[in-house]
Amino acid sequence: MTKKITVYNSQGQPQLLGKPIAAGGQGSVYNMEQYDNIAVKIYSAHSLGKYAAMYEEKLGAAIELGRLKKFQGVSWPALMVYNGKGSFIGYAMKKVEGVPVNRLAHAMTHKKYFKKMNRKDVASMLLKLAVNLKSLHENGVIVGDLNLNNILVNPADYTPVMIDCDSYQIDYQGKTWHCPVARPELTAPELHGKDFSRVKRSLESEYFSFAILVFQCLMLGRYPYDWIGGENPVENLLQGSFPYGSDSHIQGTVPTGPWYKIWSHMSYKLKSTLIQTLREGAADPGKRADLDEWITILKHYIFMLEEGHADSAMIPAIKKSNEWVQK
Amino acid sequence: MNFYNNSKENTNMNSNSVVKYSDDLVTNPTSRIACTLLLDISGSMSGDPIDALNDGLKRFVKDVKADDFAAYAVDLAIVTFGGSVQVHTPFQNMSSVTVEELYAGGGTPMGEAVEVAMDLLEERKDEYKRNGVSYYRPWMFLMTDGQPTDSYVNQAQALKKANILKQVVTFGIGIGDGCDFNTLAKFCPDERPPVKLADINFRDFFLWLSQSLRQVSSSVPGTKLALPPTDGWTIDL
Repeated sequence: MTKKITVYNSQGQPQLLGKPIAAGGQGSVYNMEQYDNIAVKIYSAHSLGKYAAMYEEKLGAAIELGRLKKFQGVSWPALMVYNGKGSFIGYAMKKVEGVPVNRLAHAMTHKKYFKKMNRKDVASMLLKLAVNLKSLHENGVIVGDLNLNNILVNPADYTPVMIDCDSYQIDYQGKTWHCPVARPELTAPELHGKDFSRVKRSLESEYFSFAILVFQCLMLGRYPYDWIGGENPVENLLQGSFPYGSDSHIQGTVPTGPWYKIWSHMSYKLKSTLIQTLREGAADPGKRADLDEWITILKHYIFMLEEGHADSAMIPAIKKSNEWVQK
Repeated sequence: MNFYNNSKENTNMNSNSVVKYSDDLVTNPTSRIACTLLLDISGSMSGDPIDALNDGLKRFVKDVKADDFAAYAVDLAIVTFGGSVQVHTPFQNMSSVTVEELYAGGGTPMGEAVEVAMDLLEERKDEYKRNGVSYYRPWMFLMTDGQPTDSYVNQAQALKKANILKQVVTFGIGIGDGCDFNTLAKFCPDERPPVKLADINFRDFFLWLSQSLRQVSSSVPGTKLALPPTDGWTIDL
Protein backbone atom coordinates (compact mmCIF):
# COMPACT_ATOMS: atom_id res chain seq x y z
CA MET A 1 0.00 0.00 0.00
CA THR A 2 1.31 3.45 -0.85
CA LYS A 3 2.25 5.67 2.03
CA LYS A 4 -0.18 8.53 2.67
CA ILE A 5 1.16 12.03 2.01
CA THR A 6 1.01 14.60 4.80
CA VAL A 7 0.72 18.25 3.84
CA TYR A 8 0.50 21.39 5.94
CA ASN A 9 -1.40 24.66 5.87
CA SER A 10 0.23 28.04 6.45
CA GLN A 11 -0.14 27.58 10.24
CA GLY A 12 1.75 24.28 10.07
CA GLN A 13 -1.29 22.12 10.79
CA PRO A 14 -0.97 18.67 9.16
CA GLN A 15 -3.54 17.03 6.90
CA LEU A 16 -3.44 13.63 5.20
CA LEU A 17 -4.05 13.40 1.47
CA GLY A 18 -6.28 10.62 0.14
CA LYS A 19 -6.31 8.88 -3.22
CA PRO A 20 -5.13 10.71 -6.35
CA ILE A 21 -7.93 12.02 -8.59
CA ALA A 22 -5.89 12.98 -11.63
CA ALA A 23 -2.28 13.29 -12.71
CA GLY A 24 -0.78 15.54 -15.34
CA GLY A 25 2.52 17.00 -16.43
CA GLN A 26 2.48 19.76 -13.81
CA GLY A 27 1.49 17.63 -10.85
CA SER A 28 -1.30 15.55 -9.32
CA VAL A 29 -4.65 16.32 -7.73
CA TYR A 30 -5.60 14.38 -4.58
CA ASN A 31 -8.61 13.84 -2.39
CA MET A 32 -8.27 14.78 1.26
CA GLU A 33 -8.56 12.10 3.88
CA GLN A 34 -10.82 14.11 6.18
CA TYR A 35 -12.68 16.49 3.89
CA ASP A 36 -14.87 15.15 1.08
CA ASN A 37 -15.43 18.54 -0.53
CA ILE A 38 -11.80 19.62 -0.88
CA ALA A 39 -9.14 18.59 -3.40
CA VAL A 40 -5.42 19.40 -3.26
CA LYS A 41 -3.09 19.92 -6.18
CA ILE A 42 0.55 19.02 -5.50
CA TYR A 43 3.06 20.19 -8.10
CA SER A 44 5.67 17.74 -9.36
CA ALA A 45 9.25 18.19 -8.18
CA HIS A 46 10.12 19.13 -11.76
CA SER A 47 7.52 21.93 -11.85
CA LEU A 48 8.51 23.21 -8.43
CA GLY A 49 12.20 23.14 -9.30
CA LYS A 50 11.56 25.53 -12.16
CA TYR A 51 8.54 27.58 -11.12
CA ALA A 52 7.99 27.32 -7.32
CA ALA A 53 8.36 31.08 -6.74
CA MET A 54 6.10 31.98 -9.67
CA TYR A 55 3.35 29.53 -8.60
CA GLU A 56 3.53 30.68 -4.99
CA GLU A 57 3.20 34.33 -5.96
CA LYS A 58 0.46 33.72 -8.53
CA LEU A 59 -1.58 31.50 -6.21
CA GLY A 60 -1.15 34.04 -3.44
CA ALA A 61 -2.77 36.62 -5.72
CA ALA A 62 -5.51 34.14 -6.73
CA ILE A 63 -6.34 33.39 -3.09
CA GLU A 64 -6.47 37.09 -2.27
CA LEU A 65 -9.14 37.44 -4.98
CA GLY A 66 -11.38 36.09 -2.24
CA ARG A 67 -14.78 36.62 -3.84
CA LEU A 68 -14.04 33.97 -6.50
CA LYS A 69 -13.67 31.32 -3.77
CA LYS A 70 -17.42 31.34 -3.17
CA PHE A 71 -18.22 31.39 -6.87
CA GLN A 72 -19.89 28.09 -7.85
CA GLY A 73 -18.79 28.06 -11.47
CA VAL A 74 -15.08 27.63 -10.85
CA SER A 75 -12.87 25.53 -8.61
CA TRP A 76 -10.84 28.49 -7.39
CA PRO A 77 -7.69 28.11 -5.23
CA ALA A 78 -8.59 28.57 -1.56
CA LEU A 79 -5.48 27.78 0.51
CA MET A 80 -1.76 27.33 -0.02
CA VAL A 81 -0.28 23.92 0.85
CA TYR A 82 3.23 23.29 2.22
CA ASN A 83 5.48 20.32 2.95
CA GLY A 84 6.96 19.46 6.35
CA LYS A 85 9.82 21.88 5.81
CA GLY A 86 7.43 24.74 5.20
CA SER A 87 8.10 24.94 1.45
CA PHE A 88 5.22 25.70 -0.90
CA ILE A 89 4.11 22.57 -2.84
CA GLY A 90 0.54 23.24 -4.02
CA TYR A 91 -2.91 24.48 -3.15
CA ALA A 92 -6.32 23.36 -1.91
CA MET A 93 -9.58 24.04 -3.73
CA LYS A 94 -13.22 23.05 -3.78
CA LYS A 95 -13.59 19.52 -5.16
CA VAL A 96 -15.89 19.26 -8.15
CA GLU A 97 -17.47 16.20 -9.69
CA GLY A 98 -18.36 15.98 -13.34
CA VAL A 99 -17.48 14.76 -16.79
CA PRO A 100 -15.06 16.73 -18.97
CA VAL A 101 -16.74 18.65 -21.79
CA ASN A 102 -14.60 16.65 -24.24
CA ARG A 103 -16.99 13.71 -23.56
CA LEU A 104 -20.06 15.91 -24.21
CA ALA A 105 -18.64 17.54 -27.33
CA HIS A 106 -17.94 14.12 -28.86
CA ALA A 107 -19.94 12.32 -31.52
CA MET A 108 -19.60 8.97 -29.75
CA THR A 109 -18.94 9.39 -26.03
CA HIS A 110 -21.88 11.74 -25.36
CA LYS A 111 -24.15 8.71 -25.76
CA LYS A 112 -22.46 7.09 -22.77
CA TYR A 113 -22.06 10.04 -20.38
CA PHE A 114 -24.96 12.29 -21.39
CA LYS A 115 -27.55 9.74 -22.47
CA LYS A 116 -30.59 12.01 -22.83
CA MET A 117 -28.72 15.13 -23.97
CA ASN A 118 -30.60 17.49 -26.26
CA ARG A 119 -29.77 20.88 -27.76
CA LYS A 120 -31.47 22.76 -24.94
CA ASP A 121 -29.21 20.99 -22.40
CA VAL A 122 -26.13 21.97 -24.40
CA ALA A 123 -27.27 25.56 -25.00
CA SER A 124 -28.10 25.93 -21.27
CA MET A 125 -24.65 24.62 -20.34
CA LEU A 126 -23.05 27.11 -22.75
CA LEU A 127 -25.15 29.95 -21.33
CA LYS A 128 -23.98 29.12 -17.78
CA LEU A 129 -20.43 28.92 -19.07
CA ALA A 130 -20.70 32.35 -20.72
CA VAL A 131 -21.99 33.80 -17.43
CA ASN A 132 -19.11 32.11 -15.51
CA LEU A 133 -16.54 33.48 -17.93
CA LYS A 134 -18.02 36.96 -17.70
CA SER A 135 -17.73 36.88 -13.90
CA LEU A 136 -14.08 35.83 -14.19
CA HIS A 137 -13.40 38.63 -16.67
CA GLU A 138 -15.04 41.15 -14.36
CA ASN A 139 -12.57 40.05 -11.69
CA GLY A 140 -9.51 40.54 -13.89
CA VAL A 141 -9.17 36.85 -14.76
CA ILE A 142 -8.89 35.43 -18.30
CA VAL A 143 -8.85 31.63 -18.69
CA GLY A 144 -6.42 31.81 -21.60
CA ASP A 145 -6.24 28.07 -22.23
CA LEU A 146 -10.01 27.66 -22.59
CA ASN A 147 -10.58 24.14 -23.93
CA LEU A 148 -12.73 21.03 -23.74
CA ASN A 149 -10.62 19.42 -21.01
CA ASN A 150 -10.68 22.08 -18.31
CA ILE A 151 -14.44 22.30 -17.88
CA LEU A 152 -16.38 19.62 -16.00
CA VAL A 153 -20.12 19.19 -16.53
CA ASN A 154 -22.59 17.58 -14.15
CA PRO A 155 -24.55 15.10 -16.34
CA ALA A 156 -27.64 15.46 -14.11
CA ASP A 157 -28.21 19.19 -14.61
CA TYR A 158 -25.58 20.28 -17.18
CA THR A 159 -23.92 22.71 -14.81
CA PRO A 160 -20.35 23.47 -15.90
CA VAL A 161 -17.50 24.10 -13.47
CA MET A 162 -14.15 25.37 -14.65
CA ILE A 163 -11.02 23.70 -13.32
CA ASP A 164 -7.20 24.01 -13.63
CA CYS A 165 -7.42 27.63 -12.45
CA ASP A 166 -3.71 27.91 -11.64
CA SER A 167 -3.00 28.38 -15.35
CA TYR A 168 -5.46 31.28 -15.80
CA GLN A 169 -4.21 34.79 -16.48
CA ILE A 170 -4.69 36.96 -13.39
CA ASP A 171 -4.54 40.74 -13.22
CA TYR A 172 -4.28 41.83 -9.61
CA GLN A 173 -3.08 45.08 -8.05
CA GLY A 174 -1.34 46.25 -11.20
CA LYS A 175 0.50 43.01 -11.89
CA THR A 176 -0.27 40.33 -14.50
CA TRP A 177 0.44 36.62 -14.10
CA HIS A 178 0.23 35.09 -17.55
CA CYS A 179 -1.41 31.91 -18.77
CA PRO A 180 1.62 29.91 -19.94
CA VAL A 181 -0.24 27.16 -21.82
CA ALA A 182 -2.35 26.94 -24.95
CA ARG A 183 -3.90 24.49 -27.37
CA PRO A 184 -3.26 25.79 -30.89
CA GLU A 185 -6.60 24.62 -32.22
CA LEU A 186 -8.44 26.87 -29.76
CA THR A 187 -6.05 29.81 -29.76
CA ALA A 188 -6.85 33.08 -31.51
CA PRO A 189 -4.63 33.73 -34.57
CA GLU A 190 -2.91 36.81 -33.08
CA LEU A 191 -1.42 34.65 -30.29
CA HIS A 192 0.08 31.93 -32.49
CA GLY A 193 3.86 31.87 -32.40
CA LYS A 194 3.98 34.01 -29.24
CA ASP A 195 5.71 33.10 -25.99
CA PHE A 196 2.69 32.32 -23.81
CA SER A 197 4.60 32.82 -20.58
CA ARG A 198 5.06 36.49 -21.53
CA VAL A 199 2.14 37.47 -23.73
CA LYS A 200 -0.87 39.19 -22.20
CA ARG A 201 -4.15 37.74 -23.43
CA SER A 202 -7.02 40.00 -24.38
CA LEU A 203 -10.73 39.50 -23.84
CA GLU A 204 -11.08 39.28 -27.63
CA SER A 205 -8.73 36.28 -27.77
CA GLU A 206 -10.90 34.56 -25.14
CA TYR A 207 -14.04 35.37 -27.20
CA PHE A 208 -12.46 33.58 -30.17
CA SER A 209 -11.79 30.43 -28.12
CA PHE A 210 -15.29 30.58 -26.67
CA ALA A 211 -16.83 30.65 -30.18
CA ILE A 212 -14.91 27.48 -31.10
CA LEU A 213 -16.12 25.85 -27.90
CA VAL A 214 -19.74 26.86 -28.67
CA PHE A 215 -19.42 25.35 -32.14
CA GLN A 216 -17.87 22.10 -30.88
CA CYS A 217 -20.45 21.61 -28.13
CA LEU A 218 -23.40 22.18 -30.47
CA MET A 219 -21.79 20.10 -33.24
CA LEU A 220 -20.89 16.99 -31.19
CA GLY A 221 -17.18 17.77 -31.17
CA ARG A 222 -16.78 18.52 -34.86
CA TYR A 223 -13.98 21.06 -35.16
CA PRO A 224 -15.11 24.24 -37.00
CA TYR A 225 -12.04 24.43 -39.24
CA ASP A 226 -12.15 20.80 -40.43
CA TRP A 227 -12.99 20.64 -44.08
CA ILE A 228 -12.68 18.18 -46.92
CA GLY A 229 -9.24 18.04 -48.46
CA GLY A 230 -7.76 20.12 -45.68
CA GLU A 231 -4.66 18.74 -44.04
CA ASN A 232 -3.94 21.01 -41.11
CA PRO A 233 -6.98 22.50 -39.36
CA VAL A 234 -4.81 24.97 -37.43
CA GLU A 235 -3.73 26.49 -40.78
CA ASN A 236 -7.42 26.83 -41.66
CA LEU A 237 -7.99 28.60 -38.33
CA LEU A 238 -5.20 31.07 -39.06
CA GLN A 239 -6.83 31.83 -42.42
CA GLY A 240 -10.34 32.04 -40.96
CA SER A 241 -11.40 29.29 -43.39
CA PHE A 242 -14.67 28.38 -41.71
CA PRO A 243 -16.63 26.31 -44.25
CA TYR A 244 -20.19 26.73 -42.90
CA GLY A 245 -22.59 29.31 -44.32
CA SER A 246 -24.15 30.09 -47.70
CA ASP A 247 -20.84 30.84 -49.47
CA SER A 248 -19.09 27.83 -47.99
CA HIS A 249 -17.64 26.80 -51.37
CA ILE A 250 -15.26 29.75 -51.12
CA GLN A 251 -14.03 28.66 -47.71
CA GLY A 252 -13.80 24.90 -48.15
CA THR A 253 -16.28 22.05 -48.12
CA VAL A 254 -18.17 20.97 -45.04
CA PRO A 255 -17.23 17.37 -44.14
CA THR A 256 -19.53 14.55 -45.18
CA GLY A 257 -21.98 13.37 -42.56
CA PRO A 258 -24.67 14.99 -40.45
CA TRP A 259 -22.69 18.20 -39.88
CA TYR A 260 -24.37 20.58 -42.29
CA LYS A 261 -27.75 19.20 -41.25
CA ILE A 262 -27.00 19.94 -37.59
CA TRP A 263 -25.71 23.39 -38.53
CA SER A 264 -28.84 24.16 -40.57
CA HIS A 265 -31.04 23.80 -37.48
CA MET A 266 -29.28 26.42 -35.39
CA SER A 267 -30.90 29.84 -35.06
CA TYR A 268 -30.07 32.44 -37.69
CA LYS A 269 -28.40 34.69 -35.11
CA LEU A 270 -26.34 31.81 -33.72
CA LYS A 271 -25.12 30.88 -37.19
CA SER A 272 -24.37 34.41 -38.32
CA THR A 273 -22.46 35.12 -35.10
CA LEU A 274 -20.37 31.98 -35.50
CA ILE A 275 -19.67 32.86 -39.14
CA GLN A 276 -18.65 36.41 -38.26
CA THR A 277 -16.49 35.42 -35.27
CA LEU A 278 -14.79 32.41 -36.82
CA ARG A 279 -14.36 33.83 -40.33
CA GLU A 280 -13.87 37.62 -40.25
CA GLY A 281 -13.01 37.52 -36.55
CA ALA A 282 -9.94 35.37 -37.24
CA ALA A 283 -8.09 38.39 -38.63
CA ASP A 284 -10.09 41.14 -36.90
CA PRO A 285 -10.55 40.71 -33.13
CA GLY A 286 -13.11 43.53 -33.17
CA LYS A 287 -15.50 41.31 -35.18
CA ARG A 288 -15.73 38.67 -32.46
CA ALA A 289 -18.94 38.41 -30.46
CA ASP A 290 -18.42 39.31 -26.78
CA LEU A 291 -19.97 37.41 -23.89
CA ASP A 292 -22.96 39.76 -23.56
CA GLU A 293 -23.82 39.00 -27.19
CA TRP A 294 -23.40 35.26 -26.59
CA ILE A 295 -25.63 35.41 -23.52
CA THR A 296 -28.39 37.13 -25.54
CA ILE A 297 -28.02 34.73 -28.48
CA LEU A 298 -28.00 31.60 -26.31
CA LYS A 299 -31.03 32.79 -24.30
CA HIS A 300 -32.90 33.37 -27.56
CA TYR A 301 -31.88 29.96 -28.89
CA ILE A 302 -33.06 28.29 -25.68
CA PHE A 303 -36.37 30.14 -26.03
CA MET A 304 -36.71 28.89 -29.62
CA LEU A 305 -36.01 25.32 -28.51
CA GLU A 306 -38.54 25.58 -25.68
CA GLU A 307 -41.20 26.97 -27.99
CA GLY A 308 -40.57 24.30 -30.61
CA HIS A 309 -39.24 26.78 -33.17
CA ALA A 310 -35.96 24.86 -33.45
CA ASP A 311 -35.29 21.11 -33.42
CA SER A 312 -33.87 20.02 -30.07
CA ALA A 313 -32.44 16.68 -31.27
CA MET A 314 -28.63 16.59 -31.28
CA ILE A 315 -28.80 15.19 -34.83
CA PRO A 316 -32.08 16.32 -36.40
CA ALA A 317 -33.67 13.87 -38.85
CA ILE A 318 -33.54 16.09 -41.92
CA LYS A 319 -31.87 19.31 -43.04
CA LYS A 320 -33.85 22.42 -42.27
CA SER A 321 -35.61 23.85 -45.32
CA ASN A 322 -34.59 27.24 -46.67
CA GLU A 323 -37.86 28.69 -45.47
CA TRP A 324 -36.97 27.71 -41.91
CA VAL A 325 -33.36 28.81 -42.21
CA GLN A 326 -34.53 32.39 -42.80
CA LYS A 327 -36.58 32.48 -39.59
CA MET B 1 -19.49 14.97 -55.07
CA ASN B 2 -20.53 12.20 -52.75
CA PHE B 3 -17.44 11.02 -50.95
CA TYR B 4 -19.44 8.52 -48.98
CA ASN B 5 -20.05 6.39 -52.06
CA ASN B 6 -16.50 6.74 -53.24
CA SER B 7 -15.09 5.19 -50.10
CA LYS B 8 -13.34 1.88 -50.41
CA GLU B 9 -15.42 -1.02 -49.34
CA ASN B 10 -13.19 -3.14 -47.17
CA THR B 11 -14.75 -5.98 -45.31
CA ASN B 12 -13.98 -6.41 -41.66
CA MET B 13 -12.29 -9.78 -41.52
CA ASN B 14 -12.87 -10.04 -37.81
CA SER B 15 -16.62 -9.73 -37.65
CA ASN B 16 -19.59 -11.12 -39.47
CA SER B 17 -20.83 -7.73 -40.58
CA VAL B 18 -19.57 -5.85 -43.60
CA VAL B 19 -18.19 -2.48 -42.56
CA LYS B 20 -17.24 0.39 -44.82
CA TYR B 21 -14.24 1.71 -43.04
CA SER B 22 -14.66 5.34 -43.87
CA ASP B 23 -18.18 5.26 -42.36
CA ASP B 24 -16.69 5.70 -38.95
CA LEU B 25 -14.85 8.81 -40.19
CA VAL B 26 -18.23 10.31 -41.12
CA THR B 27 -19.89 9.65 -37.79
CA ASN B 28 -16.84 9.98 -35.53
CA PRO B 29 -14.71 13.01 -36.47
CA THR B 30 -12.24 12.61 -33.57
CA SER B 31 -8.63 13.43 -34.58
CA ARG B 32 -6.98 10.12 -35.41
CA ILE B 33 -3.74 8.36 -34.52
CA ALA B 34 -3.15 5.72 -37.18
CA CYS B 35 -1.12 2.93 -35.62
CA THR B 36 0.25 0.11 -37.79
CA LEU B 37 1.70 -3.05 -36.28
CA LEU B 38 4.01 -4.90 -38.67
CA LEU B 39 4.48 -8.26 -37.02
CA ASP B 40 6.95 -10.99 -37.86
CA ILE B 41 5.15 -14.33 -37.47
CA SER B 42 7.72 -16.43 -39.34
CA GLY B 43 8.51 -20.00 -38.27
CA SER B 44 11.12 -18.89 -35.74
CA MET B 45 8.39 -17.14 -33.73
CA SER B 46 6.72 -20.51 -32.99
CA GLY B 47 6.09 -21.56 -29.41
CA ASP B 48 6.46 -19.14 -26.52
CA PRO B 49 7.14 -16.01 -28.64
CA ILE B 50 3.92 -16.24 -30.68
CA ASP B 51 1.93 -17.07 -27.54
CA ALA B 52 3.36 -14.01 -25.78
CA LEU B 53 2.65 -11.86 -28.85
CA ASN B 54 -0.98 -13.04 -29.00
CA ASP B 55 -1.44 -12.45 -25.30
CA GLY B 56 0.13 -8.96 -25.44
CA LEU B 57 -1.92 -7.97 -28.48
CA LYS B 58 -5.21 -8.95 -26.84
CA ARG B 59 -4.37 -7.03 -23.67
CA PHE B 60 -3.35 -4.01 -25.76
CA VAL B 61 -6.68 -3.85 -27.59
CA LYS B 62 -8.59 -4.34 -24.32
CA ASP B 63 -6.55 -1.65 -22.59
CA VAL B 64 -7.03 1.01 -25.28
CA LYS B 65 -10.74 0.19 -25.53
CA ALA B 66 -11.06 0.74 -21.77
CA ASP B 67 -10.33 4.43 -22.35
CA ASP B 68 -13.26 5.52 -24.51
CA PHE B 69 -11.61 8.76 -25.59
CA ALA B 70 -8.50 6.91 -26.84
CA ALA B 71 -10.59 4.09 -28.33
CA TYR B 72 -12.35 6.56 -30.65
CA ALA B 73 -9.07 8.28 -31.57
CA VAL B 74 -6.83 5.29 -32.35
CA ASP B 75 -7.08 3.55 -35.72
CA LEU B 76 -5.30 0.20 -35.86
CA ALA B 77 -3.96 -1.87 -38.75
CA ILE B 78 -2.03 -5.13 -38.38
CA VAL B 79 0.12 -6.52 -41.19
CA THR B 80 1.79 -9.88 -40.58
CA PHE B 81 4.69 -11.47 -42.39
CA GLY B 82 5.30 -15.20 -41.98
CA GLY B 83 5.59 -17.11 -45.24
CA SER B 84 3.32 -14.57 -46.94
CA VAL B 85 2.24 -11.04 -46.17
CA GLN B 86 -1.29 -10.74 -44.76
CA VAL B 87 -3.39 -7.72 -43.90
CA HIS B 88 -4.57 -9.31 -40.66
CA THR B 89 -6.54 -6.19 -39.62
CA PRO B 90 -7.19 -3.42 -42.17
CA PHE B 91 -7.31 0.11 -40.73
CA GLN B 92 -10.27 0.54 -38.46
CA ASN B 93 -11.17 2.46 -35.38
CA MET B 94 -10.02 0.71 -32.21
CA SER B 95 -13.56 0.78 -30.82
CA SER B 96 -14.51 -1.91 -33.35
CA VAL B 97 -11.30 -4.00 -33.39
CA THR B 98 -11.37 -7.65 -32.41
CA VAL B 99 -8.06 -9.47 -32.69
CA GLU B 100 -7.84 -12.94 -34.12
CA GLU B 101 -5.13 -15.39 -33.09
CA LEU B 102 -1.79 -15.22 -34.94
CA TYR B 103 -0.03 -18.42 -36.04
CA ALA B 104 3.69 -18.66 -36.79
CA GLY B 105 5.21 -20.25 -39.90
CA GLY B 106 7.28 -19.62 -43.04
CA GLY B 107 9.92 -17.09 -44.04
CA THR B 108 10.28 -13.36 -43.33
CA PRO B 109 9.09 -11.24 -46.28
CA MET B 110 9.64 -7.98 -44.41
CA GLY B 111 10.24 -5.79 -47.48
CA GLU B 112 6.89 -6.67 -49.01
CA ALA B 113 5.16 -6.23 -45.64
CA VAL B 114 6.52 -2.69 -45.32
CA GLU B 115 5.30 -1.86 -48.82
CA VAL B 116 1.80 -3.18 -48.04
CA ALA B 117 1.71 -1.27 -44.74
CA MET B 118 2.81 1.98 -46.38
CA ASP B 119 0.10 1.59 -49.05
CA LEU B 120 -2.52 0.93 -46.38
CA LEU B 121 -1.42 4.03 -44.51
CA GLU B 122 -1.59 6.23 -47.61
CA GLU B 123 -5.13 4.98 -48.29
CA ARG B 124 -6.15 5.73 -44.72
CA LYS B 125 -4.66 9.22 -44.88
CA ASP B 126 -6.60 9.85 -48.09
CA GLU B 127 -9.76 8.78 -46.28
CA TYR B 128 -8.99 11.23 -43.48
CA LYS B 129 -8.57 14.03 -46.01
CA ARG B 130 -11.73 13.07 -47.92
CA ASN B 131 -13.71 13.19 -44.70
CA GLY B 132 -12.12 16.31 -43.23
CA VAL B 133 -10.74 14.38 -40.24
CA SER B 134 -7.46 15.66 -38.81
CA TYR B 135 -4.75 13.22 -37.78
CA TYR B 136 -1.60 12.94 -35.73
CA ARG B 137 1.62 11.76 -37.31
CA PRO B 138 1.00 8.02 -37.83
CA TRP B 139 2.96 5.41 -35.88
CA MET B 140 4.38 2.26 -37.42
CA PHE B 141 5.90 -0.55 -35.32
CA LEU B 142 8.14 -3.03 -37.11
CA MET B 143 8.75 -6.10 -34.94
CA THR B 144 10.97 -8.96 -36.04
CA ASP B 145 13.12 -11.77 -34.61
CA GLY B 146 15.24 -12.26 -37.72
CA GLN B 147 16.09 -10.63 -41.00
CA PRO B 148 14.18 -10.16 -44.27
CA THR B 149 14.10 -13.14 -46.61
CA ASP B 150 12.93 -11.01 -49.53
CA SER B 151 14.41 -7.95 -51.25
CA TYR B 152 13.90 -5.07 -48.88
CA VAL B 153 16.35 -2.29 -49.77
CA ASN B 154 13.89 -0.05 -51.67
CA GLN B 155 11.16 -0.49 -49.06
CA ALA B 156 13.59 0.25 -46.21
CA GLN B 157 14.71 3.42 -47.97
CA ALA B 158 11.11 4.48 -48.64
CA LEU B 159 10.16 4.02 -44.99
CA LYS B 160 13.23 5.86 -43.77
CA LYS B 161 12.46 8.72 -46.15
CA ALA B 162 8.82 8.87 -44.96
CA ASN B 163 10.22 9.36 -41.45
CA ILE B 164 12.48 12.19 -42.59
CA LEU B 165 9.50 13.84 -44.31
CA LYS B 166 7.56 13.49 -41.03
CA GLN B 167 4.89 11.40 -42.75
CA VAL B 168 5.23 8.57 -40.23
CA VAL B 169 7.13 7.65 -37.08
CA THR B 170 8.72 4.21 -37.24
CA PHE B 171 9.74 2.21 -34.18
CA GLY B 172 11.91 -0.84 -34.90
CA ILE B 173 11.75 -3.56 -32.24
CA GLY B 174 13.98 -6.61 -32.35
CA ILE B 175 13.00 -9.83 -30.63
CA GLY B 176 15.60 -12.30 -29.30
CA ASP B 177 19.23 -12.87 -30.20
CA GLY B 178 18.50 -13.89 -33.79
CA CYS B 179 17.38 -10.43 -34.83
CA ASP B 180 19.62 -8.63 -37.31
CA PHE B 181 19.62 -5.15 -35.80
CA ASN B 182 21.81 -3.67 -38.52
CA THR B 183 19.23 -4.55 -41.16
CA LEU B 184 16.31 -3.45 -38.96
CA ALA B 185 18.05 -0.09 -38.48
CA LYS B 186 17.84 0.49 -42.25
CA PHE B 187 14.04 0.83 -41.91
CA CYS B 188 14.28 3.27 -38.99
CA PRO B 189 15.20 6.95 -38.77
CA ASP B 190 18.82 7.52 -37.68
CA GLU B 191 17.73 9.38 -34.55
CA ARG B 192 15.53 6.48 -33.44
CA PRO B 193 17.48 3.24 -33.93
CA PRO B 194 15.75 -0.08 -33.19
CA VAL B 195 15.44 -1.30 -29.62
CA LYS B 196 15.58 -4.82 -28.28
CA LEU B 197 12.59 -6.33 -26.55
CA ALA B 198 13.52 -7.74 -23.15
CA ASP B 199 13.01 -11.52 -23.43
CA ILE B 200 9.61 -11.86 -25.08
CA ASN B 201 8.07 -9.14 -22.98
CA PHE B 202 5.32 -8.21 -25.43
CA ARG B 203 3.02 -7.60 -22.51
CA ASP B 204 4.95 -4.61 -21.17
CA PHE B 205 5.57 -3.31 -24.69
CA PHE B 206 1.86 -3.27 -25.45
CA LEU B 207 1.13 -1.73 -22.06
CA TRP B 208 3.58 1.06 -22.92
CA LEU B 209 1.94 1.45 -26.34
CA SER B 210 -1.58 1.73 -24.92
CA GLN B 211 -0.41 4.29 -22.34
CA SER B 212 1.37 6.27 -25.04
CA LEU B 213 -1.64 6.23 -27.35
CA ARG B 214 -3.91 7.35 -24.52
CA GLN B 215 -1.54 10.21 -23.83
CA VAL B 216 -1.38 11.25 -27.46
CA SER B 217 -5.15 11.04 -27.95
CA SER B 218 -5.71 13.76 -25.36
CA SER B 219 -2.97 15.99 -26.79
CA VAL B 220 -3.08 18.35 -29.74
CA PRO B 221 -2.05 17.19 -33.23
CA GLY B 222 1.28 18.77 -34.10
CA THR B 223 2.55 19.28 -30.55
CA LYS B 224 5.52 17.50 -28.97
CA LEU B 225 5.01 15.40 -25.90
CA ALA B 226 7.15 13.07 -23.81
CA LEU B 227 6.07 9.44 -24.00
CA PRO B 228 6.36 7.09 -21.00
CA PRO B 229 9.83 5.54 -20.47
CA THR B 230 10.50 2.30 -22.37
CA ASP B 231 12.86 0.73 -19.84
CA GLY B 232 10.17 -1.70 -18.67
CA TRP B 233 10.30 -3.68 -21.90
CA THR B 234 13.63 -2.86 -23.60
CA ILE B 235 17.17 -3.96 -22.86
CA ASP B 236 20.38 -2.32 -23.96
CA LEU B 237 21.87 -3.60 -27.20
